[in-house]
Amino acid sequence: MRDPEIRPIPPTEPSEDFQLIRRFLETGDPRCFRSLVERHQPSVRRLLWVMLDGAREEVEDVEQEVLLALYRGLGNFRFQSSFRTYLLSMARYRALDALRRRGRRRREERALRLLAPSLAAPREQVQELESAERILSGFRRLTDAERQLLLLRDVEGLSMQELAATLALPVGTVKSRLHRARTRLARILREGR
Amino acid sequence: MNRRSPPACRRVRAALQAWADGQRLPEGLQAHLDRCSSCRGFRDFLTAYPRALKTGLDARMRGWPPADLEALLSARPSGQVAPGAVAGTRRRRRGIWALAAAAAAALMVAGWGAYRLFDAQLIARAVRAGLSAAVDRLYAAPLAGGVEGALVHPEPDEGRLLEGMSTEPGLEGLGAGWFSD
Repeated sequence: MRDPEIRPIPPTEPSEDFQLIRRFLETGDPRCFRSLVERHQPSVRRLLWVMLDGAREEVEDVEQEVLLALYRGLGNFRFQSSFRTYLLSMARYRALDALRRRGRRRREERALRLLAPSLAAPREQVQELESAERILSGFRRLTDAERQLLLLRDVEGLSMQELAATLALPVGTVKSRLHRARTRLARILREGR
Repeated sequence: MNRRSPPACRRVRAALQAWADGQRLPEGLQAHLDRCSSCRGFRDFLTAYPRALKTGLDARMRGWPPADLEALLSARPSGQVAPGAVAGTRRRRRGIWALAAAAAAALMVAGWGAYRLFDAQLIARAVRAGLSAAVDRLYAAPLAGGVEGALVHPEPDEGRLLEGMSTEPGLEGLGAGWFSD
């Protein structure tokens, strides 16, 4: 019944990340760091986009902050968690800092960006994009915490343990909140038809 | 989960959520799904929404350039990176312009304030007076104790002044001619 083609979206292989980190720390080879970033940048960018309500300039600024912090602090990585979890946690905390700096009022103004029309796409993708747009508009109506949960678990494929570590919550709490968020999104989409 | 769902549906949806979290589906669930369109819809949603959401998010960011790693990678290895070198060209440019604008504004304010506080002529007069006083002091110092003082003010104590000067090291006998006349 389970369709491996659809979910979960396979995460990158952790051991490859570890190899790249070790090689970078030992040799300082910039290609290793570049490869590491390229493997995970889409995930980081999606998380920042969701948390910062699609404010492009802010997403790019925070992304640079994250990469700088990563570049400086990679020597402190202990190889005890997956690099993906480590990086997404770092991105999440930076985004929370940015939100605090930004203030609530500006944030609400920018929330409308989530509903802005998307860029032009090839015709064969239009139908898929229409469906995506519908889901995205429902997704926008969830709370920040619900959006983070759904993104990190169902799009980025973090395990329950990784999710709990990233959000600093017990696994049971993460699971119940995740189930509630999925149910709520399903209901929003059903009512929006 | 919908609170108004029948108990069977609630159990099935809980099982579907667990399945979405990576667990196996219990046997016998398919029969319920075959006859319950609502639960079937929930299963389809769980199956399809992650990819659709990812597609939607990626579409929003299509065309965004990759992160600017050049400045970061051209810097030295971790722990020795100058923050200014890696904070992004756009942001760096913005910072420089902001700094230049602030400096220009500060200069204008300071200039205007100085103009208001000190009238230009007043300043010129003060400079002239200061210069004159300095020149006077410059000349007065040797005059007070020497030959030129006696020439300017010959009346009082000229003999004492000249005598005094004549005993100064290197100037001995300078006033002798004058005094003898």
